[in-house]
Amino acid sequence: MFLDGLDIVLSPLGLLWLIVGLLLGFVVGVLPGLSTSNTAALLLPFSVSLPTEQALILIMSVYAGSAFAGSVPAILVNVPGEAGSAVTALDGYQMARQGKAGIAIGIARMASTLGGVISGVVVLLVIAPLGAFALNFGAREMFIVVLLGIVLVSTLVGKNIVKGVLAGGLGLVLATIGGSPLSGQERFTFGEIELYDGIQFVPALIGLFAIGEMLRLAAESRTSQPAAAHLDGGVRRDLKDAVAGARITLKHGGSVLRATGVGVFLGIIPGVGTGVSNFVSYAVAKRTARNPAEFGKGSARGVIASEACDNAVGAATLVPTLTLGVPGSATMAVVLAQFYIQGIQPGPKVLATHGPEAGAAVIAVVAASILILPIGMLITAPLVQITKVPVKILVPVVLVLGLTGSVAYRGSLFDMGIATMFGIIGFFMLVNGYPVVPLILGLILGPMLEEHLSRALALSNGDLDYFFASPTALVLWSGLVALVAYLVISGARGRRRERAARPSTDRGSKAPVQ
Amino acid sequence: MSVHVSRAGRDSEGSWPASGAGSRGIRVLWRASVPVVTLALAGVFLIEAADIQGRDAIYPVAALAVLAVVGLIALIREIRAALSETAVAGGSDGIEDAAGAEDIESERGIGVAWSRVGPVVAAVVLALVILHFVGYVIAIVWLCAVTAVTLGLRKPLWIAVFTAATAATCYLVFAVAFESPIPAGTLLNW
Repeated sequence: MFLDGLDIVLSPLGLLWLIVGLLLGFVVGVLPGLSTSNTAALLLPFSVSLPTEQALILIMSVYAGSAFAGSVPAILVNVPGEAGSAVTALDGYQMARQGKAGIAIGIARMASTLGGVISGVVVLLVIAPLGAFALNFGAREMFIVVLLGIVLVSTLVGKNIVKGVLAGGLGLVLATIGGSPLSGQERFTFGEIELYDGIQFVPALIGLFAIGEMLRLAAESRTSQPAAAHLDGGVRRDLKDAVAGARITLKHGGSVLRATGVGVFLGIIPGVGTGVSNFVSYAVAKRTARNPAEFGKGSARGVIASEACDNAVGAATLVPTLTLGVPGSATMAVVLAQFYIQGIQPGPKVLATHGPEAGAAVIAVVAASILILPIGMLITAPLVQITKVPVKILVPVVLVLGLTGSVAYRGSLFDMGIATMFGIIGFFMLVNGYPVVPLILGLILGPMLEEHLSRALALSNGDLDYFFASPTALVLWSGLVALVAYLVISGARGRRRERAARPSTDRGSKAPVQ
Repeated sequence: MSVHVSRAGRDSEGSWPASGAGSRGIRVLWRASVPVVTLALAGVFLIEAADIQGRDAIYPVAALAVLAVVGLIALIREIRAALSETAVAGGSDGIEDAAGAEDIESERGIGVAWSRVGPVVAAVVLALVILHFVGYVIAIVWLCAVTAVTLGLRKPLWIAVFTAATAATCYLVFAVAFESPIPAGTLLNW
């Protein structure tokens, strides 16, 4: 798997898509409002025309590039380019205010590289044994795993569990539209022949991720451009800062390893994502530091904790995606859709049937992380200019690209209608605080859940005891029950805390409704 | 991300929902919009599920039942939250994060500027409607121009150059380079 993957990534076309993806990732990373998942969704109409492995290289290098580039506006402007970079701003922006912007970016660049490379190597080591273990899973175990994945993502991605579960349930229901996987009988098509194949992933993903997000951006009433710190001094100064940043990062090797460890561990859990992981990594770094007071005041360790973890998560999210078919993050949901569109069902068997492609995806993260060092240094200064792209330009361009991509996918205006409808649904969900990732996950995993359930029911002749009649199934059910119990207890505690805090809030600055 | 409640009502950007007399009902409706639509969808699908024969109905009906229960819980919680929500004192835009509103990509707060998002959504829907008749290029030029003007692009020359460049680039990339089947339009048959 490793050598085949390496061959694919180091082929001329592999390298081409790696560099294209990395550059695109840099642009996406510095543009607040455009995330990796948006871009991966926008790329779907292009990437479906590419061979699977090249499409995966493209998406994974976008992921790696944006994870680093998000730190550039976080450091210079105090506005994170992507969710994971919010933590980088805590110390990176303070360094920039102290006149060390170049060094902070150098630290972020080196930490991103090390985090991505170490995490990629760890993933390469663990993915094969985990995949082999998962091969023992039958329909019964896979049903529980998929259910567990949906519950995990629905409850972890947002702050409000009910909203997450509602979004996931909506996705599961929408996934039942089309021909039944059992008999081919039409379900919920309302006489629309284009719905017989179900809701297509490409327009749905474009709608939810790209169009919905752009409508949300258009709906923001505050769109003023933040004042930026700037890099000056030319190429020689950039190089000097890059070397200084790399030296500082290497001097804090323990911090890099700790942040990468946190990133790998949390990245493997579906739904946790970079935002939460980076905060955990920062908290761990602060707690274990000799001088915690330096955090938040321009500490190099703070930048390392965030950036090494950010890139480590990117590779680690591939583990559940490839071994179980449960995406570890929003971008991985698009990767999963990419597999399905190419006719490959991700899950335990994918490592055996499509090992080189899976290997190429992991090695693409490692290679892209290495390339962050030279390419990232060359284009950091131009990247700063991209942060100035105003919403009035960004929104029309992404809307046009998204709608064109949805219609170009199959040449169907119906798909454009689906993208528009999902865009409006996504917008309403986003502005009301409903996460869209569980909806996507439900849409993608719904057919898989139904198929495994039907197969398990057929194997057991409808006997429900069968679902509990294996040690692995019992362990998985226990995990699911423990998760639900934890969520119920922590939710009740949260509500109690909220009620206790409410009187003091009411006495505060908020005025009553008139 | 949050939905904001402003004492000043509609601000200079046309933000909404507003507070003040008569706004409570609108706020309840706004916060309950997603669960209400979900419940309506679940209802329609449950009626349609009656026509599904045999075991093909088991999974969808189970999923619909779960969705209906969660939708009902969400609806009750949203209504209770909207009724107990306090307005935020503020100046011209009175913006502050409201509790219980978030998304995974961004924590930044927004006030929903309907004066901007309304025309953008209308432009998208109209582009979809006219695309079949006037073809891809005209529909996309229309969408791009309306969106850019709505979001603040003012100089006519800039608008013309920007829309022409965007439409031409998309056409060249998708229709020419990738040979994607872009609708030509029945009216002009481009």
